[in-house]
Amino acid sequence: MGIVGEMRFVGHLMRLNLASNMEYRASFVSQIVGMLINNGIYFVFWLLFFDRFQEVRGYRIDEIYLLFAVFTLAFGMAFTFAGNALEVAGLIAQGRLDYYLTLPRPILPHLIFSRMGQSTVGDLTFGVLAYLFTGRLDLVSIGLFVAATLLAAVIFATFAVTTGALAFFFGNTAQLSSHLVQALGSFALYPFGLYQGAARLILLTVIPSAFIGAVPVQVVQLRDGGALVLLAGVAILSAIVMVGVFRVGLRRYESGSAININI
Amino acid sequence: MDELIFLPAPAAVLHRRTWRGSARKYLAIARTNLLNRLAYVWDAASNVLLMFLFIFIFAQLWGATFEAQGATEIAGLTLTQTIWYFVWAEMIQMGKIRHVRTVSQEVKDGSLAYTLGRPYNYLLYHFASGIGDVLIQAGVLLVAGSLVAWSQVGPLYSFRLETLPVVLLVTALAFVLDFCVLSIIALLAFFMEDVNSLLFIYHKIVFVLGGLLIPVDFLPDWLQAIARVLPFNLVVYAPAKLFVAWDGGQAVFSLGLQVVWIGILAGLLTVLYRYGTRRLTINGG
Amino acid sequence: MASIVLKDLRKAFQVKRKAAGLGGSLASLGRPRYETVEAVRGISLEMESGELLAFIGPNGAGKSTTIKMLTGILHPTSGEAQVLGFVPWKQRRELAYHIGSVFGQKPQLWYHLPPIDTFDLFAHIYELDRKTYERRRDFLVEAFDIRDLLEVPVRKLSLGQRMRCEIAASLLHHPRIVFLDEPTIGLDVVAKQQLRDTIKQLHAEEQTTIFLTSHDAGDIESLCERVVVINHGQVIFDDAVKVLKRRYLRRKVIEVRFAEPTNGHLDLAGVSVIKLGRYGAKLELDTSSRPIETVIQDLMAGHSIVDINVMDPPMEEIIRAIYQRDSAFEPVAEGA
Repeated sequence: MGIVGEMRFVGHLMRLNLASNMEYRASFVSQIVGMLINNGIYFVFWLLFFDRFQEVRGYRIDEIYLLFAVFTLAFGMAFTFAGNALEVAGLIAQGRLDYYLTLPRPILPHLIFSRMGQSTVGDLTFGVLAYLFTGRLDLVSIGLFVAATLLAAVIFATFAVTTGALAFFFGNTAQLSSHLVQALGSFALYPFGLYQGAARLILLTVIPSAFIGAVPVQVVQLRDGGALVLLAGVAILSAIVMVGVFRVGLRRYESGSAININI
Repeated sequence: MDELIFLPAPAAVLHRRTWRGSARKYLAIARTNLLNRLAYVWDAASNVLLMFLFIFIFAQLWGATFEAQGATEIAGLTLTQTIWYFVWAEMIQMGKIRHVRTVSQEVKDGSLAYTLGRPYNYLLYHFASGIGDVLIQAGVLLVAGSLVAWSQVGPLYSFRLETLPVVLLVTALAFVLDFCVLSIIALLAFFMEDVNSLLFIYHKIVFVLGGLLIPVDFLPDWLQAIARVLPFNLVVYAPAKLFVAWDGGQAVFSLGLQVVWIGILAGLLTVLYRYGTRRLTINGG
Repeated sequence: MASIVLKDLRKAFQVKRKAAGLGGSLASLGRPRYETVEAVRGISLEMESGELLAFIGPNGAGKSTTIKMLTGILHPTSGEAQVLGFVPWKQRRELAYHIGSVFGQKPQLWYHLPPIDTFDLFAHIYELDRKTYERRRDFLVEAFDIRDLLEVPVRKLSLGQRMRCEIAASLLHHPRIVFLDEPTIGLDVVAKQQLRDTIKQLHAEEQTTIFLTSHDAGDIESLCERVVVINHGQVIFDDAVKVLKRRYLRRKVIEVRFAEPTNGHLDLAGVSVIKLGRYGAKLELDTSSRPIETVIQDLMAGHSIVDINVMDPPMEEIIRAIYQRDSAFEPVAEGA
């Protein structure tokens, strides 16, 4: 089975997911609205902030629009499609990999795409809206924005899976893993100019927040092709790290006997 | 550790409903949950991580902002006070009692009906089991947050030790007030399919109007006026502000308001609980 | 041809221990104490293709751990295994095309969707072409009598219905070996028997190799030819079901309730009375000395009966008997 076959399979999984989500349409809609509000509140914070202070380390409200557009769209894409990426630690700890392990599919894509995010559709929507507010509606900008955001989404999702795979080594790390993802996101949502020295180094390596916020913003704002290439390199690298950690971890998988259901 | 203090009382004693008996019961509940909590070292550790993270980011953001303004004070707060304000605020926010999911689930699937027969008050049970969490969580978070704040902006010289009891009291009442709001949201599951969105909205209101993301003093005047009359600032802003900038009059005022709001909300909660459980016993789960 | 070979397979888990009380919690916070628990302690086994083997033992004996190693879910601590010539934990995907598995406690069917959707998904997963898949599906739907369940969301099915759909799903790709881990767990008597009949019929028709675990002696008695009993991670019995039955499953317990009070004594040849009340009795019977049917006939002839219940000895008792036999100085005389 080649790449095309795997893609078709992932496509089928997604259709199935959509069907499963549609079973609960009411909560689906309310979750989306909830997410819109959630992002809106942070946005309101920045509006209030810049209303009073105008500028901080080179960022004005315009940059914030773009930052939010990149961030929420990347987040939305990553976890709407790779819905299980945020659940990896829990799935491992509860022994829920059994299902995937008994089926003849590469486990990582099968696992990651077996669920679709619901509330994250709200982030998708928010991202698109925020981008419209930036007013950069020429084709080059849109092209760069889409490319950079896609790469950021890959980095976001692979980071989530990698931190989730820590559960292979340390038991149930569900909360730790989700907090690490939250850390990745939180740092990304502030102007990168705020961080100096060691913090800057960390955010370019271990917790690669720069690549899901500041760098994509730079790609779009400055039409920086070099930054886009860098972004692609980081995406590939983090995918390699993810596969490696997961492979090693799988040898230590302990299954477990909790009663599971496929929701 | 003195193990004897909290040993369950003999059945005969428990059946007599003494105040000490029931206090002991809820203490035992709190203690078991505290033990349960300790089993999750990683969870505790990861909360610390988040605390480090938030205080660090806030220190950078507000450090840069104070610098850009060239000001030593914004709306009466120094940079040091601002950062320590966030330590206290985040401690409250992250230490919260998290029972909404459990309660709303029990309401929805009808298993609340089974808990009615048990010899304790349902909501007090959740409060007691939550408090176990809060004590550990808040303590650890405070230490973690203080470490970062100290390293970034130095000690909080404006803090007066003699005000601590009152600050702690206002903080405790903030937890109670928050618990009441959360419980009302959870019990609304009697009427709504999904209370998560309400929970969400409450949290987000606290973010801005409660002073979690930005001290109420920094808000534009018109928004400040709104924030100060609503009860949300009593959950985060009031205790955190008193912690960094003591004001006796303000303390008395906040305490009074907290008591009034807790009274109102607790009353509402009781009515809601009675109404809901009656419906449950009449209709079945 | 051997389809499954195990050589001295072992699996150990690290389990965290904590002393009681707050002190214990704090101690384990600082320096957690780990203990090694050996779930499987050197199992060797060979299984021919087409065999129907029961792998039984009490809860926690290591049944599931073994099956999980054979399906490639767990890596063993040491030892070797081959399933259809594959090393499961190294060639997981290749092997997965040829085996099917059902874990009683880990449903594969999507909870909110009807079984047909999971079936379709499995067709994609196993790369079955549409025609073959539909033919196979229709056949299984008949065999398991699940036509009416196909389009009902799984969450609305009963446990027995769900298990029939689970097993049908695991057979869609014509596996050469099927692993069934506790398939009858939680089912009522009727559903259990129905499931056993279907499994038996399928095995007869397709000669699929079936590896079944259970802690229910009834599963083995009505299903299998060969039985392996494990306890504490080791094989303590490996022989034909006939032998197990003759040696250890001879004893049956009969519980009977009468419509009218008895006269205080109950005399039946070859039956010992464990308990006798005015309206009920608990009897024990050695089936090698007397078939159970004749006892029931006698009972019904002499009394008017409200309820009667025949039970196998529990797993623990069979295991105790196996140990006793092994350590006995004098060989136990075998009944005919």
